[in-house]
Amino acid sequence: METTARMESFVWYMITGGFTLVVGLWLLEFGTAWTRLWGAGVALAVLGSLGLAAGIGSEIEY
Amino acid sequence: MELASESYWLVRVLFQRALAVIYLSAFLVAATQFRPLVGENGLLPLAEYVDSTNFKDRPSLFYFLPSDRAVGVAAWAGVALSVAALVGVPYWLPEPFSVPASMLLWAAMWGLYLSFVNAGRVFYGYGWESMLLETGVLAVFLGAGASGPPVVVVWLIKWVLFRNMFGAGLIKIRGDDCWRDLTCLKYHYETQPLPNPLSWFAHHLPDRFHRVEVLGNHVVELAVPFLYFAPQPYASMGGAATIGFQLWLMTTGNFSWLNALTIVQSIPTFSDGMLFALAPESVGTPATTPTYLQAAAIGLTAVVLVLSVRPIRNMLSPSQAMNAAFDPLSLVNTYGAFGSVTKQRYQLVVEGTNADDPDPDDWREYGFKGQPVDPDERPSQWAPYHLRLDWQLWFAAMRPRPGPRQRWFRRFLEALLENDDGTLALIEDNPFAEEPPEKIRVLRYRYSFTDPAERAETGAWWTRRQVGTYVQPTRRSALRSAGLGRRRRGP
Repeated sequence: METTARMESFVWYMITGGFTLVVGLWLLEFGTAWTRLWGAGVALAVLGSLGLAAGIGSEIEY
Repeated sequence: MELASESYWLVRVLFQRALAVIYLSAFLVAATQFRPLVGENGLLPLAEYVDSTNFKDRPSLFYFLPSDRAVGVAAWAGVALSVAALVGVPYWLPEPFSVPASMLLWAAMWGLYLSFVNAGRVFYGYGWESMLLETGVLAVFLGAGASGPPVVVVWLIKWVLFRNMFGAGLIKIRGDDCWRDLTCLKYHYETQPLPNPLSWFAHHLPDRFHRVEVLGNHVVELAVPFLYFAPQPYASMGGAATIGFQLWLMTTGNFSWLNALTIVQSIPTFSDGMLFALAPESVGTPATTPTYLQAAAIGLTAVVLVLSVRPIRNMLSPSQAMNAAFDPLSLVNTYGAFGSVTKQRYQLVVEGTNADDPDPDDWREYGFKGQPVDPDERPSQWAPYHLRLDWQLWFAAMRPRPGPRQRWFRRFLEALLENDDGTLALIEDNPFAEEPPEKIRVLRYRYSFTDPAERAETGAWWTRRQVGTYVQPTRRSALRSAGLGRRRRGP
């Protein structure tokens, strides 16, 4: 898709980070604490949050 | 307490009441401003809309009824319907009738408001108009009475909220360097369209605070929106962050009903379970949603998904459009507020005189409701009421001369030269109440907030310096002979 090919890197970070965060939080919702599913949820939520932070951070020039 | 409750009965009640307040404000604005702005003899006459537009492109009741009487009836009907929605009339009806009555009520408000937006042209060219229409059409499918709303419609409202917020976040990063170096809010409070009583104070907060604010803005607009689609309590946390952000914006500026509407859209990020946790109250378990409403909601979802393709492509595009509707009914739109921030504030000051050979003291200034003119006058609070003329004056002042989007401006001057009652109702002070001025001119100033020491000494909120003349002194006859007057000339 043409739009995707031209997508700025910060947008890519925001979109993938945001989706990953949401998937992680839903896995947390359905997984019992300390199970593999729950652990995957935590990992994805952390990864997604880092992606969002990286997306915003990549555009800040301070 | 089950925090992940999927019941949205109470959410719907709150959402509908709050949206009714926004509609009420919008219809009151139409009732009081539409005729002098775009009515039969308005600054942009309705006949021009009819002559220059294809109904299929910009459908409106006023295409077939381009009269001030029709405008008045439609606006006050909208006010009455909004009040009916606000007090929850469909909930008073017996169960088989509450859902269809609600659908009819919300559809009628949407249809009426669509007519105003499409006929209103430049005076209705704001993102929050199409946003109100898009939110309003979703409200048609929420139902009423004892049954719960279709959950899919609740998610469609979250989708509008997401595009509203995320679109605003993206366009800022793309639109202006000051959003990236965190300096935009050093300027924004002073240069925003209509400052309010607290804007001066917000402007004088420390630079470091403004930088943290900008960073917080990016987090709330770019990261938080994803939480709307997460399970509870994360969705509610996202909604609460959005509401807090909008409340700060409402506290420090006049942005019509944009912030209030965003807060309304945030209500569905909560569930009944979360609302009960905040204010324990039992409303019982909602009845099953009627099958026909579920089916209609699924059809609506299919339409929204298809129509979302272009707004999504726009959001992902580096050349993102700020606010745009992609269909004549404004069903699924793209949004993005304040992609760039003006660094200097320019103001138009309209002056009139009856002196034949006026010296500087002979010119007297008109006062506007929201745009500052008198430097000693404190900015006023107007939002969520919308001052359409004042917003256009802010846009007009960005250029040294009237541009193509200011076709209305010389008609506005002619209306002042005639002491036209409708036009005078749009402004605050008319210094020529006894008889209209012979001549009128428009000066262009640069306005800046006073610093705290100046304000303590003089009491003034603004300092100003003339930077040009927007319209040279002119008479009504000159406007007419140049074909710039507002009256339609006979054959």
